[in-house]
Amino acid sequence: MPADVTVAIPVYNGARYLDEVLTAVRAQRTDRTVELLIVDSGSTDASPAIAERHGARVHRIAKADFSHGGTRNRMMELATGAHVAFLTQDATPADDGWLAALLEGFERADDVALVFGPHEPRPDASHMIKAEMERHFAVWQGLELQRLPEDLAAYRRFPGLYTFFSDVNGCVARWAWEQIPYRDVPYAEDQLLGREMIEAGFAKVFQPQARVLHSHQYPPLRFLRRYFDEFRSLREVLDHVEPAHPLNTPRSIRSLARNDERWLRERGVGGPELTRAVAASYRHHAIRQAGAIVGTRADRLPRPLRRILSLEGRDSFTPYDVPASPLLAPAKTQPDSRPVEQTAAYEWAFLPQFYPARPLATEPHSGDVTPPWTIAWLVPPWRRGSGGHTTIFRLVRQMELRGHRCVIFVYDPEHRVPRSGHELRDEIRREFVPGVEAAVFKNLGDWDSADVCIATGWQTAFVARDLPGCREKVYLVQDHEPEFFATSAQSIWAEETYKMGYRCIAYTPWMADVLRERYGVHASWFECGTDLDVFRFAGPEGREREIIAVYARRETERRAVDLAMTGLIKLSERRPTIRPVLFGSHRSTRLPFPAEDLRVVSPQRLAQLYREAAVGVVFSLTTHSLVAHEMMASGLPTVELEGENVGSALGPPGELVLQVPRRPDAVADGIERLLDDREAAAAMARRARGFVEARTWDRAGDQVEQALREFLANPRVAAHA
Amino acid sequence: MTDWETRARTAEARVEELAAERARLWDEVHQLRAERREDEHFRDLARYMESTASWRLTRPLREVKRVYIGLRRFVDK
Repeated sequence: MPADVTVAIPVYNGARYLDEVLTAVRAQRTDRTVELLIVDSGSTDASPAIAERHGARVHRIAKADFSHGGTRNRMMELATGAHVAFLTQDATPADDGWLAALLEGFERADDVALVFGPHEPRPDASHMIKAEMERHFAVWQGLELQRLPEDLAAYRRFPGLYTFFSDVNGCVARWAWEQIPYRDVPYAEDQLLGREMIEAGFAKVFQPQARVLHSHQYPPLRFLRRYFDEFRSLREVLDHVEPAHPLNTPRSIRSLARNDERWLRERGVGGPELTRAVAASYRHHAIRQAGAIVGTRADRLPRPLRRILSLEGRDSFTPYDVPASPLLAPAKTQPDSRPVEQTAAYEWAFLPQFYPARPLATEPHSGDVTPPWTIAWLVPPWRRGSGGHTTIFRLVRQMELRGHRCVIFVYDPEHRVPRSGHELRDEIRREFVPGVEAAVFKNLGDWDSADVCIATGWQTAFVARDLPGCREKVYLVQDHEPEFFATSAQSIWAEETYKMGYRCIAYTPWMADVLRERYGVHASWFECGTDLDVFRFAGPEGREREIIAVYARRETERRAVDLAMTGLIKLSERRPTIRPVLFGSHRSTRLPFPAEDLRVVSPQRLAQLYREAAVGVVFSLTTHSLVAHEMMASGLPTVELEGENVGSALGPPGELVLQVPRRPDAVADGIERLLDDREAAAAMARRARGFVEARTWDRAGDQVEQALREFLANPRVAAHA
Repeated sequence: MTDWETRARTAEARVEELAAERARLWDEVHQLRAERREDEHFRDLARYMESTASWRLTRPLREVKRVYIGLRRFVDK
């Protein structure tokens, strides 16, 4: 009658531990039927008798017929279980839950083909072996490999980390083995099986509870010979060549010995005992490296030397024809092609995970709006001087001042920002808005839940869509982002975010109209405030007649910087004494007229410029600019470009700012008009200051809070009482 | 004030109290997580610094300084 599970052990003169191993196997607590299968390859000790005493089915083969891969295939054929748990003759299950833990691994998913557990050192093992095994098996806890670009790139960097499988303590699903059997190789059969099954798309599970006692303790010279054998086989089967470098090899030995030292210190070892132990570590790791380097170059050694160096006494070197991995070394199909550099840092690699599109995830709720609310803000990474981020952080602070609790998540899937969360928080307080109390996290590893989750840019809208534990999902739309990227994939993605079902809060009524008219989205809106303490009003007196403050953020094409510059060329031909002062960009600029560049400076420094200059120039082709508000607050007569985005926010041309047609000559004319007609310019600046004074951050905070209250009061899916 | 009005007001006050407490705890959890991240960040930084060649090369200087300070303290006593 077929068993549920077979425990299979290849044996050759294994009497030393075999009784202990089989006793531990027989003591396993499981409700499955267990078959015990031994394949003996010509033992001359009591191994077969011990196996029979424990009720094992013993199958005998000739010693010459043994190979690690071939014999295990034979055992899979002989076994009757749907799962075959492999042990070696010296690997003792550490407790009676070993087998149950292995089998439990298969219940994680339908496609689990392999389950393996850790090896624990036997009590007589040296500290080097103990420390090494502990480090080795700590790696797989929580390690996951999904079919994602970043995971595949990580796999290519260090495949062994993901393919590792050990049939000293590992279990194979018969259905998977029937598709991918062991390769008939003399060694490293488990590593090959692990690699082939992973690359076929099967799952592999590490079960930390499925422990066995298994370690080897040899004198130094025997260790050298054992490592020679192991690494020769790795070269024969996997073509692995251990790197040998005059500096890196000693460094690697030192690093391993230091790890041992740390391990010993953690266990209270110190003084001369520690010194002796660390010296033993250096010797052990040097021997291991030597065995690895020489073993993987065994083909260069004469046969007699191979025999001397081998613990098995084998003098051969036989490379095995193992098929190349399609994932690790894809073959070139076009002889005249060049390889494309593979990188996990591809800018848009984060996107495929959001497809196929899913509905916006929100929790049903009662519509209760009792404050305070918990608000999570998802923001893209920023650069110093980013106006959009200034607005976001102002609103965060406004919500905090109203008693709501805020957290900021910086969504940086490419890991471009090297700073930590607390450094980012300091930067927000230092460079953007003092007083922000919200904790700042990089990416979403610490995501928990929130009453409201607010996406603030199209990339963040994708990730916020799927976040769990939110009563409401809101999209703060400061600008029409599809226009940032003209005709492009990015434009398609940005447009898509407006159709995800977010409730939107737009910056300016114009943006709300765009959302309604183009995407059928109902959006509340807010208007920005201005920091009137920093941008203090200054009248026309004391302004330098020829200074023109020009917002020249070249990084942002929608700022139409080149339209401003071509206008200034025209103007400089007529008025060579003008002194444009550029600001707002990290990039250097080359111009055919004299100008200065402040680059990115503090708001205080800008306020000083605005108080000294005669005219300000700031353009925006999409939404209305916060920089214009700051110029207006400072009493600086301002030139903007005509457009509905500006006109809808600032009224008719000349009322608050001079709006000029989108032509270089019109830009030059507009600036000149303000330079010449000082009285009209001053009157316009006074009206502009009044306009800005009425639009405070406090008012913007009220508008956003009111919008959130309305959203929360009208649940998408009401909770049932 | 009628009994149901009093009860309603008490219930509302309790809801407000609980909402505030819930938000406070949410905030506290995030502040603690942020502190833990900060702690990890500085540990990584210290580990990196101690592994640099310059730190290890100047180790004898720090040892000398430590002994010197110890001696000064001993003499000052």
